[in-house]
Amino acid sequence: MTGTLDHVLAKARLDRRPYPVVEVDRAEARLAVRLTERMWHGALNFDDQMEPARTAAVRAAQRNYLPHRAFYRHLRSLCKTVVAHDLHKLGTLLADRLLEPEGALVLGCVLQLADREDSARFWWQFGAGADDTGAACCLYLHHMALGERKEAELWRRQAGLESLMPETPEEIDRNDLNMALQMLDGLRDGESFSPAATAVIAYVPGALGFVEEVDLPLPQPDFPARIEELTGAR
Amino acid sequence: MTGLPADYRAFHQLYRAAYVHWAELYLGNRHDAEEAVDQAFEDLYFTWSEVLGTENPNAYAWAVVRHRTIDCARARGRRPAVIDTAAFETVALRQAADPIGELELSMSIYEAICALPARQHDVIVLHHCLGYSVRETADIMGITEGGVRSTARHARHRLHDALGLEREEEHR
Repeated sequence: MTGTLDHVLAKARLDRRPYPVVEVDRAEARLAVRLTERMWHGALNFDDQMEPARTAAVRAAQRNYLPHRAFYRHLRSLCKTVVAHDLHKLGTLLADRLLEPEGALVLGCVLQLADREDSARFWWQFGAGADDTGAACCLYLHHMALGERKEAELWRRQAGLESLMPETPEEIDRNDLNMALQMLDGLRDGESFSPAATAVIAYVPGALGFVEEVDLPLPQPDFPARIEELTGAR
Repeated sequence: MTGLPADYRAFHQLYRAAYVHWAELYLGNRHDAEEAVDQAFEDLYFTWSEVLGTENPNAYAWAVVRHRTIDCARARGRRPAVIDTAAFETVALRQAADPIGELELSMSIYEAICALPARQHDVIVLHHCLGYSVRETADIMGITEGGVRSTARHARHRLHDALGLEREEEHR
């Protein structure tokens, strides 16, 4: 009797159509794009919904220096790095509407890249308030870019980066290469990079203008373009 | 670098093919199967830390894939395509001397398989129809090998009855 059923089941056997590795890779790339778009739109949507809270926290800017374009550029490259590495940390936020400090750093970076500077600042403040060094680092660059040095100084200290980051734009200098290499050595001690470490790593080579000799976890060349495409598509 | 967590990527690489094979059988074509599995992996991504925190991530992921596939079939207002399409693609049919008779037999086998409870259905489809080993089937579904064997045993009893095999035997 068993033999009969086995015989019948054997007739139900199908040839599995092959599923080559290249298909899996293609699917992974497709998933990455779909997820990036969902994260991106989810982040902007979340920020829209939180607008009342953000507006309530607005305070007048204290611009005491001219805006500094270089810091804006460094901030953007830092944001791209964070987004490239840690976008998945927005998962909890978008799934449960629950924002963890590490998610706040990423959310701020997404918003910065979407040209929502005020929103970005708000979420970084949230992250930095919970001792997220990466968020404090972003705030430092953000305020330096706007010429708000007093506030920049506050976040520089909060991030514990006094010795690593220039107090004034004039201090950015290629001569600081040795110091940068020391920093990189220190940062690379751990198994993996924390968002804060990643942030500093991205910041330093941008500021000092070297990337080639050091194996940095920078985003792929096409990633910024993709992010910009997504922003532009909105 | 796609920006996806390494463990998520590894999981995707390990199980995607099996998920697509199963969903393809359920939905009747690869395109829909890919879409259902993509959606499942999107769901998994957004709860990834919770998935890893569960006692059995494979079982969790399998439930998500199953759910998404069935959703996809419902959205298309279809009964499981396994009855409609798989019956035409069996190895036996291609080699049959009597294709019509073989097709009828295949149809009734698949009808019976589709009528099985979910877990029994999955074990029979993965193990018997798609040819995954007991070990692979257990891994894909996130159950033990013993679980696969006992589920298959129960499924066989049901199929036996559903296909009228006992009566056939008795008449002989």
